[in-house]
Amino acid sequence: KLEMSIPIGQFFILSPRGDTIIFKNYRGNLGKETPQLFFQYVGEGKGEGEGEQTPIFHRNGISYAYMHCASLYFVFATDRNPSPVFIMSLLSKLVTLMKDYCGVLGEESIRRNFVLIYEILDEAIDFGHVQTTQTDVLKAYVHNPASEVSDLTEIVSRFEDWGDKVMNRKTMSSDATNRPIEVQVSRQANTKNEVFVDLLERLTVVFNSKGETVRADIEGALVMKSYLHGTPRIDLAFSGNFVIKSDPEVDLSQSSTAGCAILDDINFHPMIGTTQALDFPKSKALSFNPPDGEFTVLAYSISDNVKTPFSIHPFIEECEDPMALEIAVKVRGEFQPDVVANDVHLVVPLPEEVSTAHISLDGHGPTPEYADEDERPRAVLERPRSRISWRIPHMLGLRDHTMRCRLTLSQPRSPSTIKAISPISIDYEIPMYNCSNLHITYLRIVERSEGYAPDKWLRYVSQARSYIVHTY
Amino acid sequence: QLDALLSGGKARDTEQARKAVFSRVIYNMTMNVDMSPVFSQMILATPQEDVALKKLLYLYICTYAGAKQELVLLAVNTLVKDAADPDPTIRGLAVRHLCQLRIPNLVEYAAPVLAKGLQDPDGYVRQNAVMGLLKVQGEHPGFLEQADVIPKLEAMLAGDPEPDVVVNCVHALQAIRGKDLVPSRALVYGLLNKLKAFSEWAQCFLLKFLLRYTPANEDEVFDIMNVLEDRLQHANSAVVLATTKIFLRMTLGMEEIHQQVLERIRPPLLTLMARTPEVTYVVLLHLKALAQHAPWLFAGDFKSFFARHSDTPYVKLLKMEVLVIIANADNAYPIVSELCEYVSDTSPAVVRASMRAIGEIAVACPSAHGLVERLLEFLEGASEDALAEALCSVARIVRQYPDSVPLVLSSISKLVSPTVQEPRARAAYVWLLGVFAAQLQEAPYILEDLVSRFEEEAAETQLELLSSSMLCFSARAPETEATLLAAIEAGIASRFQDVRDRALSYTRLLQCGVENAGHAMGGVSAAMLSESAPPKEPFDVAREFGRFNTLRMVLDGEGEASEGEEPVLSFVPQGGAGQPVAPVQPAAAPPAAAPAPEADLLGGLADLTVDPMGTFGQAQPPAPRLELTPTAAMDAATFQRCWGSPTSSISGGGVLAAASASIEQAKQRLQQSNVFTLASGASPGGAKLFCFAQEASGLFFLVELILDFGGGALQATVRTDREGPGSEDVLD
Repeated sequence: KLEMSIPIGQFFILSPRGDTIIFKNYRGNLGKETPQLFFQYVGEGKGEGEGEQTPIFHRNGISYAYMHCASLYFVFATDRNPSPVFIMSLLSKLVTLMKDYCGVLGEESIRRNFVLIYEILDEAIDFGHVQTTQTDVLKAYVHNPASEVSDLTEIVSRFEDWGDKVMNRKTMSSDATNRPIEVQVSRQANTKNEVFVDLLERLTVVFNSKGETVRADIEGALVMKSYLHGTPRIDLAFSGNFVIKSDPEVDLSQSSTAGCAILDDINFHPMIGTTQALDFPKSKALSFNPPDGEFTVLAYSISDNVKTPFSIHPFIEECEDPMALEIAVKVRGEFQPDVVANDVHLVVPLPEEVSTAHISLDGHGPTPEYADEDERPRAVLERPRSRISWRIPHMLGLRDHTMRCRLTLSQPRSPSTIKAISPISIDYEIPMYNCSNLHITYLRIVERSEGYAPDKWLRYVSQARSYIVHTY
Repeated sequence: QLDALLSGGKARDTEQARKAVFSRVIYNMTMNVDMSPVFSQMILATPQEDVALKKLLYLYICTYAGAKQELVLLAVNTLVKDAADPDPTIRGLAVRHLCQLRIPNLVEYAAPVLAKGLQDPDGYVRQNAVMGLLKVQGEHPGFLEQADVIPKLEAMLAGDPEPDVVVNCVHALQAIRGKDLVPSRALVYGLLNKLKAFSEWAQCFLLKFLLRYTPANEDEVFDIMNVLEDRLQHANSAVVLATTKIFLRMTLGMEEIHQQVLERIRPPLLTLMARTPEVTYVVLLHLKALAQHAPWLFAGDFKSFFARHSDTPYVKLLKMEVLVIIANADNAYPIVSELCEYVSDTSPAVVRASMRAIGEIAVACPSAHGLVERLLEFLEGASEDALAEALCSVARIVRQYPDSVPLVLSSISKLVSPTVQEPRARAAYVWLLGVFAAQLQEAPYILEDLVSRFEEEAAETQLELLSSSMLCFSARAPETEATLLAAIEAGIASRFQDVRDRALSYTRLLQCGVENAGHAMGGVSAAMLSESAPPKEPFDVAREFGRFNTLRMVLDGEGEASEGEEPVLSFVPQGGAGQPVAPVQPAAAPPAAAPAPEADLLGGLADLTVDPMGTFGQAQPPAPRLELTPTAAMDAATFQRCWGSPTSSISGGGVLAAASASIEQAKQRLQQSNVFTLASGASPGGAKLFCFAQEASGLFFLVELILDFGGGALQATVRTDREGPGSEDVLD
């Protein structure tokens, strides 16, 4: 009997309608009908109203692991017993690889690049065993060039991972990172020599009804996307204002750590050697040869002393009329006036029995003139899941915004009516701002060749992962 | 048309045009259009040096060579020729694709090519050749043994400079030798020292492979862990988990170190939760298993398991499961407060699970204050889903902790007629009405109302309506008589067998006299309130750690994957200080002779008194007075019914032998005497068992046993389901 731990039996990509776009059978032991079966099972999960099917499930002797991104299903099927984390991580990696090679991920770009996709699949996994997934190693063996897709809708449907939102913004050269990496060395001269460096932080914040912070954590990552020519080395250094909790040499009670960000944990890309990684809490510097494409240099988490960028104060007033209810929500950016938060979006859930809502908005001080109607804050009642969707396209620091709303109800209110107005959530993106105050103080790209002057793009972005306020 | 294009001069000239034609052929091929007629043209049209086209060609060849016999030779010749190409990439590709051909006499062609490939100066070719061996072996088992390549592979495993080749050698050797392939100490140390040179995926595989190695002593365990420690910091979640598994498995026999290891792996594992939802989900499954193994480990990190607003429902559900496991007296209140927030979630599954979780935590942490109050909030105005689950949870808590009755009572009294539709929740509500019959003023009237639509209810609700009416009657006889009669009448006419049975048994009970019935029901209601918690399923360390980091963990209960479980190899110090925690073995079968087909009911336990060594079957069984069938069967509902309406009841006491010092031992002994345990639970210093047995004539005996392990005493009450001889005998 053959060996047991072969991780992968089949890989396939299905369109939203269940058509098989890519089908790679690594081992002959699974039938050709698995994609159809898979699609059927995923559909079943949806019908039950229990949310989506779990990312790994097992039916009739076959296990399926899938990711649903860009409306496509990326699926591994196996009848063996490998590590689930292994296949799931591998699947994410393959999806990233395909994005690296195709530029954007979407049905059209995959169909157009199907030869290339098969080539990647062939090199990355052989006979069910992983061979290599590093973009630069693969590059030596992948020979079919990518054909670019310039369809705008494709660019929007991107892989859900670090930076998914960031890259789509109009503010930065967003489509620059949607370029496929170059396959043939000779064509490098035609492409721009540049690197994008993003320090991304995602916040999870929970306030209780008293306005106290129940929880505030940051998940941070330094993500790079490299289109650099040749084989350069990157040196970078961080500002000194952080310590790592697990570092035995750090005494958190000492005053020297005051004002520092306290990192719970940090992990590095494998290209960062152990010595460098161990030295990092002291040196705060890294030096490495970047691979091509997108990669995460380091990731960290912070759960102590996190400064929250928005304060949100909800007021709910039970009017004399039992059929009415008044809500006011005040939001304020707790950052400097020169910092601007983009696409601030608050969602206030409402009880089901709402029949009408009168909403008014106001800011403190003179209302600025909005040249473009799209720039004006708006709040609307959304159906059928009753809720108020309040969008503030641009929000300056230290400025209050208030939304008032008078609800009329279709039946007299009960205690559950009030409870339905929770939690209020906020989604936003603040460019050139980060809550941990970590900064990159130094970024240098070293290459031997003459006149090597790549473009460097450094960005800081703070986003909400889950930022909510409970109202009762 | 394609034929013309391929052989036409145009295609030969311009690279662009040729590529377009090839792509079209491949595209048609994947669309299941038969492209085999242009086979030879395709081969001819491929220029020797163009790797990109070669790749397309190989894809094409492999698709058709198996299906079209007449093309096999042509395909094989092309590939064999390319396997000697000056370009290593083409050599590697040719070797790879040659071995993928599904043709009968593959060995004949592939063996010489592979032998050469293994010696190739280029790593890529060697890597593909090793994989090729595996492929041929898959199609033609026995190939590797014949080709005598095993020594060659072993040499490459130890000496090849390319990590990618080495790891493929491990794949291949493992395929041949299966579970017998146990790495030697030298190999383990060699691989560990070079580990960082391997790709992240190969590292995962090798770490799994290393699990087969049993360290010779404690120092070796420390050496291995020291080398691997930085792997816990790796960005790839799969590497971290594979390392974690090694750490856990190797220290299973060293209690103190095992605790330190758990502490060490805690922060990196928590960090892994911040990945894509899919990875987070699988990581959480492992955290859940660890939490079951050591609930204290994450008790302080409970906030990390709070669901994010943006989490997918499956992640939220899993986080709640972990929260239930790690809840203790200290963190229960904040956890429950958080769970209360989930009631506004958009997914009904999450809402229900949150209510259920609060109930479970309240049952598990009786010393934490304020939990029940939080749950009761949801009885007064919440969505249907929340209300339904909250009712079930409240019923569970009341059953467990009769002390909570006054607390719950006021909330239940406000809940005059709940709108829940779910039978389970309705049954819980009706049950609560029965329990509160004496205290709750409105109880009879609510019941009356519900009984009037008896036949609309589901079976479980009907059952509860019957017993609650009965309880209500025993508490407040005159005013509820009409309701009870209506319930019994409707019960007898019910379409459910169980309901008819219960209604009939109540009728008989009432025939014994209203006074007696009331007395019996009073006993039942007291018994219902002190129901002991079902014993927690013990965490089987060996089983769980065998499954750790395998798919089987995810697929628990959904059917088993085809692979056999790996044995747990853990180093157990020989004669060292301290009690080693040996992996939990499945309970060994008692070393008893086959139980005699006849034995008296309590004989098994009683003769423990003269059997201090606990060896079974030594003592001669007393003369048989009763014949008990070894195949007696009874379900819990029937038991309850019979217990509640006994025809005869007898109690007595005795001395318990030292050998039945645990519930399990007692159960085993009883079973040998054909006395089956239906339910059991631990009480302080002892245990309570409900057992039954069936006499040859069909008469059932129901037995309640109260064991006091400390005092070595036993208390028994025996009841029968109908008149018959032998109750006294049984008690003896």
